[in-house]
Amino acid sequence: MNRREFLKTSAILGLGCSFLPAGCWFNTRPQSKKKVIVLGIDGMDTHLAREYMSQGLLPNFSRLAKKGSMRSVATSMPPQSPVAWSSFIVGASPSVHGIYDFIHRDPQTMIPYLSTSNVSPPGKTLDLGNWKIPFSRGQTENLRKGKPFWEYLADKDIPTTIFKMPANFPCESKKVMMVSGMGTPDLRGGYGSFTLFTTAPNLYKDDMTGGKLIPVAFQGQKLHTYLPGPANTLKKNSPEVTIPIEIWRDHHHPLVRVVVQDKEFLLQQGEWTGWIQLSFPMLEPLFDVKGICKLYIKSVHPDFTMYVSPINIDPSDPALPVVTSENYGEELVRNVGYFYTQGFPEDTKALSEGVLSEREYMDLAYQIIHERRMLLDYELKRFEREDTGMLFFYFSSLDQDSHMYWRTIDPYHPLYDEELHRKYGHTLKELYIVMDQTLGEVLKQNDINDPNLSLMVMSDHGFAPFRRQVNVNTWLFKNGYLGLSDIKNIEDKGYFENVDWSRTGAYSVGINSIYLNLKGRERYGTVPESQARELLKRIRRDLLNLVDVTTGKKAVSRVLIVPEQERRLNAHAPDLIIGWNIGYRTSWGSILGGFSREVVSDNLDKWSGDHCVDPNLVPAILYTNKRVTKENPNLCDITATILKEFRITPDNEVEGKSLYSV
Amino acid sequence: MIDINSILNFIFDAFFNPFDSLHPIYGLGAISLLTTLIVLPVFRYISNQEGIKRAKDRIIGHLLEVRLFNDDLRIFLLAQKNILKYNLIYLGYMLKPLMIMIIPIMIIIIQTGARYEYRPLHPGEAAIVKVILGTKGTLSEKGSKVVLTASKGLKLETPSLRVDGGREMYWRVKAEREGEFDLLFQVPDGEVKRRVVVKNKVARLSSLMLKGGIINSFFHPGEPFLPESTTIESIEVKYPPMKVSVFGWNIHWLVIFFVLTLAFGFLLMRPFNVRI
Repeated sequence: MNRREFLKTSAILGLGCSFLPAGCWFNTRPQSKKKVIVLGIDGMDTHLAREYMSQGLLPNFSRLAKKGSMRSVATSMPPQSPVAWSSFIVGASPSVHGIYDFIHRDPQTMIPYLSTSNVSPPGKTLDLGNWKIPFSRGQTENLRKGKPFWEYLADKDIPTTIFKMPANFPCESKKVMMVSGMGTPDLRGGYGSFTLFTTAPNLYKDDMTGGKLIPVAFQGQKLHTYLPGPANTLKKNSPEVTIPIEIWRDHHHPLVRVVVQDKEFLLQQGEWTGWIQLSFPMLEPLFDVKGICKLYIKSVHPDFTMYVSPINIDPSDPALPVVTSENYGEELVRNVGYFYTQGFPEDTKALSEGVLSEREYMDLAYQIIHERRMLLDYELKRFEREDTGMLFFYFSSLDQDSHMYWRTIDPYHPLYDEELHRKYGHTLKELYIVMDQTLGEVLKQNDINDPNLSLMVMSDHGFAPFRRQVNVNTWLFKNGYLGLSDIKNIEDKGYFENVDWSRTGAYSVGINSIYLNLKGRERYGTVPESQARELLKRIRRDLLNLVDVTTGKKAVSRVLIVPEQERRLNAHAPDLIIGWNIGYRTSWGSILGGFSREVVSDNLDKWSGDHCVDPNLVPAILYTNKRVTKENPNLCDITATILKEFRITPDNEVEGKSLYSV
Repeated sequence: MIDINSILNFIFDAFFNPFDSLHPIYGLGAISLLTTLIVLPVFRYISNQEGIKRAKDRIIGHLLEVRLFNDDLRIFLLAQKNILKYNLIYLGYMLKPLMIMIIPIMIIIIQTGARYEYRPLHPGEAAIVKVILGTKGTLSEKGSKVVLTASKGLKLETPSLRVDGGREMYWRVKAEREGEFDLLFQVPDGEVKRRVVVKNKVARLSSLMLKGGIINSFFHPGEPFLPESTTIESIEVKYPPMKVSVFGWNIHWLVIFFVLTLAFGFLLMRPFNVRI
């Protein structure tokens, strides 16, 4: 059969099928009418949820729990979002998916990297004067291993949408509609880097992290500046591409006119723009990169300050695979508008650094929730039109805002005060109520009594206070497990710059990980394999005995020695995973190989709640419209349940069991 | 000129009225077809059809010559010269009808542009209003004072932002509901009204409102003129540009208009017995 005949036959058969929809086997849509909706609410805490439910504040969650079940769910070890969500994605523990921490290190170079994805520039380039012409495209790689549950669904042609699943960048699939979640970079390559233009740079920290501070000055009423964008990898030394911004300020009113590219805004102090599409020219006029951002006028007189949100990748013309197809991105933008594509939209760094005030941060937080609810509404309507299918939809707000506002409900936190509690102590409660209202919208559009519908609301972990921070590297040094070259200036050196590797048995990188300086594996390895087991046991014992002298409390609740077989499978796996006690976590400095004078100190960052502790202390939560019969459910069981609903038998790597039928 | 504009506005409003609520491609398709139906017969009668035929035949003949005698450099070059010559003759034949038809085509383009260059505001949407006053030298401090009030249906969201010594002023206005509303500018020498259109369909708009004059009135048919006596030189309502989406591509209306007009031209050339 030639191509023409084939097309002709296909067209006729297709036409026939449209007249005989009931019986035609060419319409091989799955026979099952099953529909599964999973709402992923990152960081929804069992204890808070129960408390608010008992106060009658969460009527929709209560209704769902009454119809089916509400259960605490065992989370991953460590209970970090990329680890926990990866466990859910593949239905298995880190030994299968290979994600153990937010940050892994390359044992050969000792360089830390984000555990979930890797973006690398083009390999070979041709140098032409100031230009570098690539021979190939840059690569984006998802470092998670194992088969994600949606691939099983795609194999069976079950329509599936996975919206903002964490640890799922880049997202690539021909059949599944996806928008990538946590781990998705912004256009500058960071994970949310704001820009602050100000005439008063002295009001902000010199060593501000999380964004760029650009000092500006008016000439008369006018200010001319540049917004830094992505690095131009087509040019030598990859300089930043910038676009000009012009700002006019009124003499009397707190009002400015902002002109950027072909857009113009008139903004008063305290006003936000919506999303603005910007075009960053890489090779004019042939090639540009599209980004989206929001502007916020913090102040106009006497000092002018303008916040520019991280420049997100434009989903309708994505520079990196943040959506599975440009058409899907365009469809979302056309019907709902632009939306945050960076992993975590909440600008927690801007709050921590004092760039956004509490009120400004919460304004933005509610904009994010509103945007996400609009997207959910659109996806629900599309889902409603399908006979069968699966929809996963993710919310980051509870997680990020619990991190930032735990200090308002924890009287033992060093940043807690009565005034703060009075003003913002209700913040988390209100966010739980908003999540309940969101669930209410889902319940309105779906019948939870329908036996063909399986509705699940899940979190990946709960929450705990983060009052005291422990510098694990300093602790290793003070306990003789790590040697330093210069013990006088231990705080001033860069990433492991001060470490004497010849006298080092173990070191820490990441939030819960400790690595042995193993001979043959690490670059400067000293510990022979034969002594590894004994050394791990000693470190574990000493960690479990670590007492915070200020509070008299034990800082560590549990330490897991990663089995040798598992470490052989995953070269980047840590040797020990620390489960912190309530109130404790690895210090900010220690995460990236830093040291401090004290082992334990107060956490004075507004990031005041955390979950990177002993997983038993922060279980996840699960609501279902069906009765959960399985004892001690865990995250992997949710995956197995989804597959079971569609009568799919997964590969052996899936460790979970169905929640309903065991 | 105002009267001519009023007549043209009336005619084109009547023409576009059935397409106001439809996708812009329908209105653009209809005006392209109308343009073709006007242009083709006119072109037939005012152009030298025989001359055009002769020039085209000669061009084709010399093109064949190039193909057949490509091994003979002298004939090849001579044929190239003749192709150029008859192309110029052909363009010469086009010049006269083009000069005559440019006026009606310009009118069609300006009237179509008044509907498809910008779209009206949607309820809930905001736009910047810009006012430019007369040159600084002619204005006293008192003379530069402009007070803006918005009629019901519009909300003034900001006070005025004044730059260039108060000569340029900006406000932000939000549309609250559908309809046609007025902005009232009070200046020491009187009041000036300017209409703002809030609709979810196509409408005749001019972003700029200027003082009279043949050129201005020709290019901005969507709004009446500012009184000559006022210190205000222009009022601009920055309506959003209209995006005409065709198969997912946003294409400027003028491109669609020209492509469709050309397509209709080629389709109807034979029935109208016209040579182009």
